[in-house]
Amino acid sequence: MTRRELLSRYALGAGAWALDAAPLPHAKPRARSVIFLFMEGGPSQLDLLDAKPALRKYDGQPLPESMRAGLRFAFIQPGASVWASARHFQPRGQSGIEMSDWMPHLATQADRLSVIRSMVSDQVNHVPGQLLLQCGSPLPGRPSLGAWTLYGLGSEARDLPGFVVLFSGRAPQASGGIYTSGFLPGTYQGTPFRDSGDAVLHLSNPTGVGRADQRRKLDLIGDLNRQHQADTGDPETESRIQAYELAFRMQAAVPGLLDLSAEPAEVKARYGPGRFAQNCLMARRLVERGVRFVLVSHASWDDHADLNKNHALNCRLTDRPAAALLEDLHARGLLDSTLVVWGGEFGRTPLVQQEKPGRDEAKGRDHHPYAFSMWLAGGGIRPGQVIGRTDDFGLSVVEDKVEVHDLQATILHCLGLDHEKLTFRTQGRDFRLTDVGGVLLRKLLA
Amino acid sequence: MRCPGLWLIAGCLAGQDAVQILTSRCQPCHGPALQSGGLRLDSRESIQKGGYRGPSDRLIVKAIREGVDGKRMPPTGPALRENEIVALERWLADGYPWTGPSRTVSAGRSRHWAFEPVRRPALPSVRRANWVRTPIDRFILARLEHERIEPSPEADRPTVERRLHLDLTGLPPEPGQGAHVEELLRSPHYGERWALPWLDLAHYGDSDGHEQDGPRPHAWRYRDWLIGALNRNLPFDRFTVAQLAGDLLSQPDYEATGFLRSTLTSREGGIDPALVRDEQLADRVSTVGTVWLGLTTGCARCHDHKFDPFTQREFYQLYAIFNRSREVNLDAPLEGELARYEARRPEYERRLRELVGPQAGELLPLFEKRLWQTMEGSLQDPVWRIVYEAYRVWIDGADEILRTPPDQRSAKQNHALMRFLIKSRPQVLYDEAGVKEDPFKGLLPKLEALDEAYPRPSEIPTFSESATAAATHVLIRGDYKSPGVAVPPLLPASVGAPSGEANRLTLARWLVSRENPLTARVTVNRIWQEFFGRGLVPSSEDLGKRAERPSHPELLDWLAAEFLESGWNVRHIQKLIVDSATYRQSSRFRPDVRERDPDNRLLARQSRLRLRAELVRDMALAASGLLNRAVGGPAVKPPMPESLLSLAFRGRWTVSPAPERHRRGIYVHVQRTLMYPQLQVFDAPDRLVACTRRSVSTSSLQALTLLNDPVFHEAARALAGRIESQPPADRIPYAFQLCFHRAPSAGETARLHEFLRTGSWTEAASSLLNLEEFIVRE
Repeated sequence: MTRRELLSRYALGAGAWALDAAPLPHAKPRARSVIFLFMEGGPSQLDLLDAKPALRKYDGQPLPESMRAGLRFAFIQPGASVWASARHFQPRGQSGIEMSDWMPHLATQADRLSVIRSMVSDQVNHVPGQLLLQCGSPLPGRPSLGAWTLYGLGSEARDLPGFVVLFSGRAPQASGGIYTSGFLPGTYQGTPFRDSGDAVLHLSNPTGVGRADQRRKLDLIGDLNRQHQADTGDPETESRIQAYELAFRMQAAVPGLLDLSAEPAEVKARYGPGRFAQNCLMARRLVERGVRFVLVSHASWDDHADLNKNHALNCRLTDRPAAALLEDLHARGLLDSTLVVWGGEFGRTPLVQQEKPGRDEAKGRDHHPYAFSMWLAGGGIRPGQVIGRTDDFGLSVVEDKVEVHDLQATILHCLGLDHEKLTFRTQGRDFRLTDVGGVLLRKLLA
Repeated sequence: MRCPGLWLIAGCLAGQDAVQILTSRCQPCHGPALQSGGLRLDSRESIQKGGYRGPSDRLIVKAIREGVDGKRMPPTGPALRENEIVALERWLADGYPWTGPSRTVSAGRSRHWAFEPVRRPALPSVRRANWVRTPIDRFILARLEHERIEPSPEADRPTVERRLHLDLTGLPPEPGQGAHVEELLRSPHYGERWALPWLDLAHYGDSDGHEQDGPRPHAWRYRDWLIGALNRNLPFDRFTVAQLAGDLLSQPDYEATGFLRSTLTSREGGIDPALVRDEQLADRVSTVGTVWLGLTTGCARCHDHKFDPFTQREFYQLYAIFNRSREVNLDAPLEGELARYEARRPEYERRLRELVGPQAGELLPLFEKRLWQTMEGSLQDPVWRIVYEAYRVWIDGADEILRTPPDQRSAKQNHALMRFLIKSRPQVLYDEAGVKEDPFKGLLPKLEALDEAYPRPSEIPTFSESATAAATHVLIRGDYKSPGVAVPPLLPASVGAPSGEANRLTLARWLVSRENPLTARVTVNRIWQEFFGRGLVPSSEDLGKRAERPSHPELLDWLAAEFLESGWNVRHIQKLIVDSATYRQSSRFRPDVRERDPDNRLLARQSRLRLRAELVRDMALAASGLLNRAVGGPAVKPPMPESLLSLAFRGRWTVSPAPERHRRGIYVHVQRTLMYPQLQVFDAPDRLVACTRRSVSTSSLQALTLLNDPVFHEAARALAGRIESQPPADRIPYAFQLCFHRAPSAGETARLHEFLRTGSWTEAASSLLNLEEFIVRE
């Protein structure tokens, strides 16, 4: 048995709990935890983070022939009309990072984050795009970023899962694919916290079974397991006994975690109302308690139509909480050890998608994987930068192209993990998150 | 070569230079050791033949001067000098006369133990001959004696009985029930137990897999076939042929081909049908590679790999075999189904008319006309193109429906077309027909519910071989948009298969022919894995060059030979194993060998195995007496927590009625994007690719599931009822019989007594279901 196999066999709990001691960093970690704000569906970089004033000149005209080569979109044709953003952009903070008027709160954090304007993906559809971003491959079955992180580092949370998933809006199109453990042992899978019923599946005891009853029961289970263990001599029985103890601790810990009443009113006010806001606050509470990876999914930004209306709503729901999260992490001294990532599986086209001719307010944008924006902040990141540049149409990257695998390699690097060494052998070969790609984005690093 | 004149002498010299350049700068990657891109440059013929991008004589200079796909040759070392390039160019233009040593182009068969013919080794001699029960034991004992390790004593009788029941039927023995191997092998539950690992190989699912993850209401016909075939002990060669080519047999076996229909489908908007097809074909190749050959083909899809016997060309030759087959569903009503359907049909159609209204009928002619025109190319409208592409992705046999005149279409075809109209609700059609209000808004879920209430007669998912199949090309870097040279359907020569055009039937027959030593080795290795938790070769998916060597190579070959000579008799091998002293040993830990053999590869004891996910469920239902033991039939849906459904992108989960809810785990509906949580928590694979061995984890979510999942809570209550039906003094012993098939120790009895002074039997029963022993095969 290799050390890794040993670890996985003895790993405890949903997402490797406390006992999964895993001193694996390949290098000095800059971040201890990750909060990934996953903007499902693909937000429009052209209306948020990548201003393209030149588009105004061509607004309403078909894209020049010379620009069309090699473009393939999910729905529209490359000859569709150019659509300039109606947003107003201006430089923010000391760093002067440009952001649109849809992100007034994030603007106050401009000096705490860095924007990548040159993200590229090779997937034009949602599910493969989401799987590529979260699992490193457009094909299903590979472990997610969070699962790889736990596999590499284990968890420091004593009584919570090491990888927690929070949702707002509808479910992401790739469903559980974005937090799966893939071919890694099931312990590394993300644990979704639900908004109805038990936050963690089967967390509550059946009706009529109180905490004292449960304790008596667990004592019985533990004693009988140990008596039998005396017969079998199997040391692994201890893992199961510990799994029950951890389940018991989690039953106590999760309700306290979910109870936001102890949070000061001004903190809650800073995050604002709504599910995404609650999830951002929850993410901070999870990280505080040693949770390694929190995936906060907000769906959906997939505005093929009515973009102005829907994006404005999404920004109202997410802008203030995301900014509050950075502020709050900073105020508690957690930002240095927490890597915060914001972005979707791709961006949106500078060309219009218009299914109802004549109705201007119904305009939307198609998927655009060839150039889109993300931002990162916190542990390991040198803030206040804009990385990469796109052409005047926002069609493609002209400087510092960042592939999805490069981003993933960089995230792992911030955690002290070497993406080329973090491997798992299955189906006859070694697999890694970044497949055969991945170049560290050194410019982004502190 | 003779050089009769000065000019020709110059030519020859250029030729020598050119060959020199090829030898030193190109052959390291395009020579006998490695054929990157399928290309060899070490003889005139090989240059002419070229690699996956086609003949290479023109490409060589292009690759050097400009590069191909952004890669200039040679990729390492200094760039070639201009005069060297000119010499090459001139020589190639002259028809590249070869002056140096030339090699013949032939892919040498790789030498590796697993590729050698199966030969039955002699039985080793052992000192403790009286320990031996079947020939297997000689191999195990000989090795143990060599290592000076004693085998473990036989486990006590109840332990062996429970072990046999769980391994052969997946169900625990009833109190007082013994274990008769022959009887257990003939039990109808044997087929259910042994279908489980095979369904992982087939990566069986009741849904499409991607995004929308639509239902596959007929997939279960394959599962029923599988359980039946195992229960008939269908010889493994016929078992193989039926699943890979049942439709091509003179007496067709269509159900069996459901094996190959388990590949995923995507119906995502905007997806390219060619991509979906490529994924499916590649999956079929890799599944056959994994399941029968024990070889990984994943690398060969994109490039040649030095550790894989398969070349990229061979991968696509196999792919070409599957590319000749089209997916079809045959109408195959089960007994009574058709009569019932016909009887209810007028009622269904009346309700359908009420639901849909007259507008669908009015819109349909224009709708299908536009689809047809888009298909034919006479209409070039981008919006209609989108609608048409969605139609092709959503409707199986889409083009065929359009090509069939409306009055000749089947009811199923007409229904598919109408259903697509209601699903797509195309604005472009409404605009053209002058329809102001969307007539089909919100209709689809109602239509789906209606269709579910009036199920159509069952179908069999299978294939139809197409005479005019599209040509298959090597796909450069595995990219379906970068076709290289065309390849015919052929079997893989690198592992010794015969040449000549092949189809699925010849492929299947070769897999189970004497010429292929892999199938027998791979199969007995997997059977072994089921009984000991680990194969003789631990990587049961890969017996190739990177695999660990077998722990007992002679035993693997002896079993393979026995398997072949018994006429591919799976049960014969299983019986040899379960009758062996090796199998019957106690699983008690051996501190004396722990250091030397931490993984128990020498088998100085049995292994303790955590039951697979489905059997954890079966154990609880069986011990509590709730289990519905019916064999076969459509999938069942036990209750699913609401909060989970809302997380799925498109959650629809109609809970099965009461008696169905207590069926065995094997029948639980496999919704690939929303796996049944209890199965998932206990490491059931996601059924996306062939899986030969599951991981085994221990987690707190497992603890919460066994403690609080309503299914297990219900089982605990029922188990308590069963126990309490006994006189008080018998209750604890009876409970132990039901759960562990053994008597309790004095300590266990005392501890339970203590608990029961204040605790209820329901809580005690729940505790027993939560003991490690409950979900372990000792």
